[in-house]
Amino acid sequence: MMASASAETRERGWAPILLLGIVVATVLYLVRTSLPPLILAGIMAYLINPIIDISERRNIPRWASIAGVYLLIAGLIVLAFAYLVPLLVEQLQQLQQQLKGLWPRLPDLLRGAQEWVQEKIPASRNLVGEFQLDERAISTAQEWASGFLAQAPQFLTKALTNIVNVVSYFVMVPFIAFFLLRDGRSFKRGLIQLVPNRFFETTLAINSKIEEQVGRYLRGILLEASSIGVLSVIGLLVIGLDQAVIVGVVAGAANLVPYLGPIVGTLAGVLVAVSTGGSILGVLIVFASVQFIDNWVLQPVVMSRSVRLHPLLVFLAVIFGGTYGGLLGMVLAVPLTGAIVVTISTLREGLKPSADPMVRKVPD
Amino acid sequence: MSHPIWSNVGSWLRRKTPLAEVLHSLPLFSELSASQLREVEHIVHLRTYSVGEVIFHAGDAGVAMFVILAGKVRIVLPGDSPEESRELAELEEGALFGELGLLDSSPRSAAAIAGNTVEAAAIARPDWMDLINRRPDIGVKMLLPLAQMVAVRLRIANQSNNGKKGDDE
Repeated sequence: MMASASAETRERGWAPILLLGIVVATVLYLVRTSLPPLILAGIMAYLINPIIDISERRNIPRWASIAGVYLLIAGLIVLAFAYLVPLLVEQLQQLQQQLKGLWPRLPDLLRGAQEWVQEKIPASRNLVGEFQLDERAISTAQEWASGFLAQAPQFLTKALTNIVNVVSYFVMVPFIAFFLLRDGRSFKRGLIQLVPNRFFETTLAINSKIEEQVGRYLRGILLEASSIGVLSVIGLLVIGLDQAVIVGVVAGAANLVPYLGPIVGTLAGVLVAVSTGGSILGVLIVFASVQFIDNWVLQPVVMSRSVRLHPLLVFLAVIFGGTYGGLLGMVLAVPLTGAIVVTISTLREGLKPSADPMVRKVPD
Repeated sequence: MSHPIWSNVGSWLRRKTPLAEVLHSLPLFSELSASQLREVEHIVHLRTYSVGEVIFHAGDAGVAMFVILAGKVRIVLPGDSPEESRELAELEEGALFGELGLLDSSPRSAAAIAGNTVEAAAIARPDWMDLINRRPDIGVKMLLPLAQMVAVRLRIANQSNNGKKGDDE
């Protein structure tokens, strides 16, 4: 009887999982254009879910707490449009004017920089010889820059026609997120129902690990980026930089992408400092300090217990994500890579090829 | 005498599904009210196993606890060869197994194999932990019976160990 039972036991292997992985990847690739609202809704649901769970502890129905959180978010968006957006638009316009004013001064600035370098490092004079910035090189740079600026109105009109898209996102994302928050568990249960019996417990384990790690990462990175944004704004206001708010917001938002954040923030700050006559050194000190606080205070607190990946893997994932998924791909590169790593490690633990339940497993 | 409408509302509130009835008959869930049982039902995965199908292997990391809704499950201790394996128990409808999977992911001590077509209700540890977190009132009522079940097992294991020691001496 036992022998027949063991004979009927099916082989547990990698082939079906690999096949499933290929099918899922192909389907995702085919529907990739309609994925962003679904992904954004998923992120929104992940971020809000802990608040809904806490209110459920206090016997508030899920739909009611979701409605409450939505009202709060709507209020914050209205406040942002009333106060923050006009401020950002004003600072952007100022920045545009200042950048326009920068072009005529560009030759002088470049010559000044060259003279400063040659004065401080006399050896560089020998290195570049008698090379001088000629008018032609400067005018080519100016033409290139003004051509870039001339395209700006076209870009803006294109962005405005995209506003329909943006509005549909504003409706679609919260709509999908509402149902994910309210019925997410039933959806998940329905999907797990489709999993064959032999992968049942492994799927449960993978699912819980991914949920835990990805959720933690997304909430952590959002908290980290907001903190960096606020710290940058404060620092830049202290040194008296003109467009402190916009530079700080850019720095914070850019921090959603690993490695890109500090570079983009510092570049934006330096550009503004150059065009408005602000202190470049001050900007560098502010961003170095923010980076220091990020590395030593924010990351250890916010990202602890989150998925641990090798820095090179993170770097490659960000490049890959940027190539195939644009900005959203870069933001999601780390959590997706984390999910893949967790899945593979759990599968390796759960799918040892001992198929016979009657025979004791040999320890590795 | 209360209005019929109230008795209808009352009976609706106390109404239990067949799954809830089975769960309520088990010590682990017996303290739960009808509405609390409905919450538990929301995290139950219903699985069907054909005869001879392995529900879990010995040594697998446990993630879920199972309740037999229909059919028989054989609990088998594997040996060095199939002939040396030993059947520890045959569980029937209403029995519960793999309950330690609710507490941690330590390896299963024995294999569970469907003796005939088995319908089982599985509760996964992450879902259960999430439920306890959201509804501590349910957690309180389930944790004590679970601790008692583990205590009984420990006592039996201790007794059998003592018996073995006595045999050795």
